[in-house]
Amino acid sequence: MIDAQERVTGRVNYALNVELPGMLQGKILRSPLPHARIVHIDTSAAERMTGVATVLTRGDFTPASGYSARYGRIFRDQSVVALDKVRFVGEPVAAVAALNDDIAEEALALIKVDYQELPAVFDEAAALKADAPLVHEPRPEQQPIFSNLIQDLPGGGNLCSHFKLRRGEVEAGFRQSDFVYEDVFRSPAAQHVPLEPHVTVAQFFQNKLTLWTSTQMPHAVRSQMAELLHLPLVRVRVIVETLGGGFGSKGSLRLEPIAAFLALKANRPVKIVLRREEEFVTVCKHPATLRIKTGVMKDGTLAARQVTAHFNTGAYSDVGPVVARNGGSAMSGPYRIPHVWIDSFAVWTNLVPAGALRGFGVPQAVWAYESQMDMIAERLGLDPVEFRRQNLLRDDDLFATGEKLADMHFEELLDQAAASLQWTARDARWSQGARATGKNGAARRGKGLALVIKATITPSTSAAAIKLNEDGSLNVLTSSVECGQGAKTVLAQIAAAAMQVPVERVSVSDPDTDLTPYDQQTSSSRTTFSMGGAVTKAADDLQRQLLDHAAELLEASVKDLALENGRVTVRGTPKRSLSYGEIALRSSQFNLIGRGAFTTRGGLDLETGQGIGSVHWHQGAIGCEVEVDVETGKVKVLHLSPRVFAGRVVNPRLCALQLEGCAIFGLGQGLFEEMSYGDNGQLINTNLADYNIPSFEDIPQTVKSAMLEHAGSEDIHGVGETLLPPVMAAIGNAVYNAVGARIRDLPLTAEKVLRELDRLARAQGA
Amino acid sequence: MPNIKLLQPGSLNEAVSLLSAPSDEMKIISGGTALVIMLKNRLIAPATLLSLGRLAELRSIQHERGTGLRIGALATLREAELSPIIREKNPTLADTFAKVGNVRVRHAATVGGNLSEADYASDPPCVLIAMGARVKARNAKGEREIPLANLFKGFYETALASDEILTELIVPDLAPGSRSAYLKYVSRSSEDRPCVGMAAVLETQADGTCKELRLVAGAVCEIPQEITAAEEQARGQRLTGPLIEKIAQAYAEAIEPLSDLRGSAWYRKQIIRVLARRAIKQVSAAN
Amino acid sequence: MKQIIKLRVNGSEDETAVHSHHTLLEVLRAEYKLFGAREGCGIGMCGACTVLLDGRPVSSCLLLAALAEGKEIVTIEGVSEPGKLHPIQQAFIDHNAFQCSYCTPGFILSAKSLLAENPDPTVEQIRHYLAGNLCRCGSYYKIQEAVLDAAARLRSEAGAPPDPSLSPVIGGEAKQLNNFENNWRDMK
Repeated sequence: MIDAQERVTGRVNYALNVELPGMLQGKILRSPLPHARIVHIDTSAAERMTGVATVLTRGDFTPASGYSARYGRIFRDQSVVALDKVRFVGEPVAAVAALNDDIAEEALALIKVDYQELPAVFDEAAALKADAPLVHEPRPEQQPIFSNLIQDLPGGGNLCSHFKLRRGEVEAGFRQSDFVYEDVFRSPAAQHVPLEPHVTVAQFFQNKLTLWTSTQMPHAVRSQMAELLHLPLVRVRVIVETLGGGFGSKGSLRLEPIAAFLALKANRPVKIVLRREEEFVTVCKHPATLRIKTGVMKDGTLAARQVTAHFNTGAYSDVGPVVARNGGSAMSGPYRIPHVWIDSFAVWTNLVPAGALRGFGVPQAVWAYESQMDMIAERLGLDPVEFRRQNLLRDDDLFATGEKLADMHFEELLDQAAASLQWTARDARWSQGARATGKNGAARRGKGLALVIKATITPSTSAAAIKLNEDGSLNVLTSSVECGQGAKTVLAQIAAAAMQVPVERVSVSDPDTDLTPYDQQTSSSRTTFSMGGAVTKAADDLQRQLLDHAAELLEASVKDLALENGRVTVRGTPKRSLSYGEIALRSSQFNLIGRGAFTTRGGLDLETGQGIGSVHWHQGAIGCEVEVDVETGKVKVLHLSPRVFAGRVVNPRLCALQLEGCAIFGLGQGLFEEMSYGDNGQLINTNLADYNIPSFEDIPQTVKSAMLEHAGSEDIHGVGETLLPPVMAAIGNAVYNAVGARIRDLPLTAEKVLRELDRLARAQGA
Repeated sequence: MPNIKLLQPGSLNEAVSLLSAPSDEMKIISGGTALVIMLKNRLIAPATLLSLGRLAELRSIQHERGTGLRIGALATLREAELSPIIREKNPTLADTFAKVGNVRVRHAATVGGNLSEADYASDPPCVLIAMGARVKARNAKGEREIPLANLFKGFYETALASDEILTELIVPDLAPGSRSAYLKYVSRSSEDRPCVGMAAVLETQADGTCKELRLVAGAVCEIPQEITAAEEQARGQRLTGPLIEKIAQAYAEAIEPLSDLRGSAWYRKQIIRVLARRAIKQVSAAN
Repeated sequence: MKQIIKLRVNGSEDETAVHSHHTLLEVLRAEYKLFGAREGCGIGMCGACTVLLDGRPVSSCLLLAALAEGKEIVTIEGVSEPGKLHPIQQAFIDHNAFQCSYCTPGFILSAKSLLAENPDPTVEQIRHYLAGNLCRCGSYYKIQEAVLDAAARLRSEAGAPPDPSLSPVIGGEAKQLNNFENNWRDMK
């Protein structure tokens, strides 16, 4: 990475390090109840405390204030602090800005809030019952910009959104099927756990709000904050230092509203840093229940699939409806299925709000459909590899969204994953052959695999500029956020290659909405593809300008000029040549600025889910080998072999890190990561001792990743999240292969495996 | 705003006299790895912290003939883990200290602090009970010894009085021909605290029969669990497969485990049986 | 009430006023502006706040600053001379053993302590010693390579012959980038 030295010396800058003169510390008072009306808030004692600058409550958002306090990406269902009621344990109710953390914490303890508790609902199915308590009443207002993405629904319930996909005649498809199988799979709430928590510093200065904030989407933060504060975009500036990990958690407004209003009230800069416990009640992966019904012919041909999916988006929708839509549109998997009917719902409950998490709904989908693929293979007595192969999507096939597919590589990926396991037909647990799985004391070995097809957000837009300096060096201006994936490195490489200069002469900016052009977001594995495309276009624009100026200076025609090694030369006359710097100076321009925007188009019909779901499809496969202790149920993942179609790889080492990172992230979600709720919506594992993430001793002996590249391919495929979704299903399939225990709800804890083995033993004994 | 007075006595006498002075809300801090978390989460709000960090006299690790290992309360877990004397005299004990937390925690946390905290999901307590260890406790009036089996009283509760400091851990030498083992079972990450810990010490007689078996389960209840009636079944017997299974089963039946994120009561019962069997097999393997 | 304590940080001793309840991490960041130590979990699980105390890694989030008096404190900022890199830092760069790098200083300091104790660790020993340092981005395999490589470099610096079974040392970052650039050009 180009900033590697700063990274190993601890000098790399995070928002955590931002300090301003006169800066105050902000702290948040949170709701102890899952659902309650706020009767009264008394802040007088806190306000009287020495060192307290200001206290923020709903009292600051009366109609007279002119501020509505309401915001939200898709629905305006969230507020800066709770207004009439609280809707989950941990919701911000008040905030304090004080000289230091100690005073701020002390002040929080002095704020008295009277609540009138209301009945609460936590389960997504219970929330949809007619008599369920209403989380939001009336139905929150939908942001108009999302009206072609998310269908608005009538109020009066907890149903937040409904994604529909209708293809073929699903009932007829089931009637024609020889067998129809219906299974239910569940994924729990899980945490992102970027090691850097959410951090925001807000300052009002010269009629302008400046935010230094840990976000993956600076421009979306700017526009939402401008709307909240009734300011033109130019009066809000968002600066993003490198992130200490994001994984989707830093993808919506988080601390920015509270920090900004505290700073506005106190008239001093305010910094808020979340404690880990607070991270747990800020955002999470959607708990989801998927009922998946698949019709299949005797020979293994898939005929029809119907899925009903409920994504529990918690108290506030964040991007939940888009997660449900993205997960929903992926539920037919990388398979040819003529008849598909999908209903994917986002549901409001009184749990921690759920949002984007690496994979964006697809992990929940793959867990269901790839587990079921193995289950169907067993029911039909088929080899799970061949059963998949038989149904794979290939070039010119139509996806469930009706779009024609090209550049499909699933067969190669499947072969690679199977080869990584040395899979043979005799390895299926249900095959008659001697199984290759080992047995050693209580340990049993097994292997499994899973495939994934995943969209990248479509439509989307990235813009970039390249500023040529008078010495020929380049500033790439981009709002792509560096969160450890190496965005800056890759964009520098792309700019350097396009402009034919060494990487050392390229500098890539940090996002700063005053200076750097629009980018939708750093997410969805899109930066190298989308921002890389914008940088390439900006380079084209810059080259055109260079050639025009050079033509004049060299008295030659543009078509006779060539760009190479940082110079423009008249073809065939090497002496008639100018460096980029000379062109900038001698044309009296000093700077030349190339601009580029990369836009993809598409969209799905709201009633049928037909259209363009993705500008191209991310494709992956993973092989997994496990060892299961049949006496304890404990699963050890021995090997993972992620395989991805990458098109053209820009930086192999950074790609490999993404694949390994996905594998390990998925291992955590597969084996033990789960947010556990106790009584009444109280989260009980809000620290890293009680919520474990994978350690050095949990990772497989090996993760052997490989990128499938196609020589001559111009298409860059993002790899940031493609290989996370199939990890859990591959582990589940391998566990079944090893011991015959089919777990349908994640994670595959030792206890669940042992309970299932115990149940099987009893059933056999009976 | 917390306004904590920090006392750092230079001798044990000074420390116990400070403790004996009537004072509310004084807490003892040694390594601080548990106490600082409680402090930060405002679970405790002591007016005074009494740091034992300067009591160099409590850091030594020695072996005395006839007494056994004498481990100063202020020795860190890491010092105990790496101590050549402990490694030589009682490798199972050294390995047990090595299993607590992570290396950073072990560099700070002390042997005395670990026992005084009485965390139900800690590794050393069950091992030390199985080994017949005892601790010394001092107050201004004098010193007493407390067998480990009597030290733990409940969740984070010990027999230590509020004016007492745990000063030393004494671990008698295991009888010749004894074998010991500690099995730590984590149900989630390697970095998790134990779901179940199982300590076994077996003394074998010349004819190969069992003289005494001590088997203590940790992390399953508020305090470590030893089922004497089950242990006695081993006395004078050869530890055959069926007998081992019988003892393991008796442990699983007698213990009423708690449920937490690391496993339900049902699950812990299964693991108690498995670990009891594996631990006994391990210590009787030579026979 | 604050008290004045003397802390020896990265080789120089200085008086600092601290509250009794403030941790070394808070003081290093607030008073010394040493930002290489970071809070990740606040309970000693993640290792992002690792510092060396008398050469041994500890969680600075769990150590009261006042109790660090009289000890030698080394942070990531103190492991190498200004403008130079410690061989472990260089190995982390050469193996790209980080992504977001929030955890990196902690890993480097822990690795330094590991290699001081055990100059020639096995993969299992590396994994075990570093298991208390968490990397959420999942750069563990590259960290493992970097530590093996750093161990070989340090042994050869110390005069011991390097282990021939280790993979050859990859060059500096600039060279690495140029290689990628070349790859890129080849593909065009």
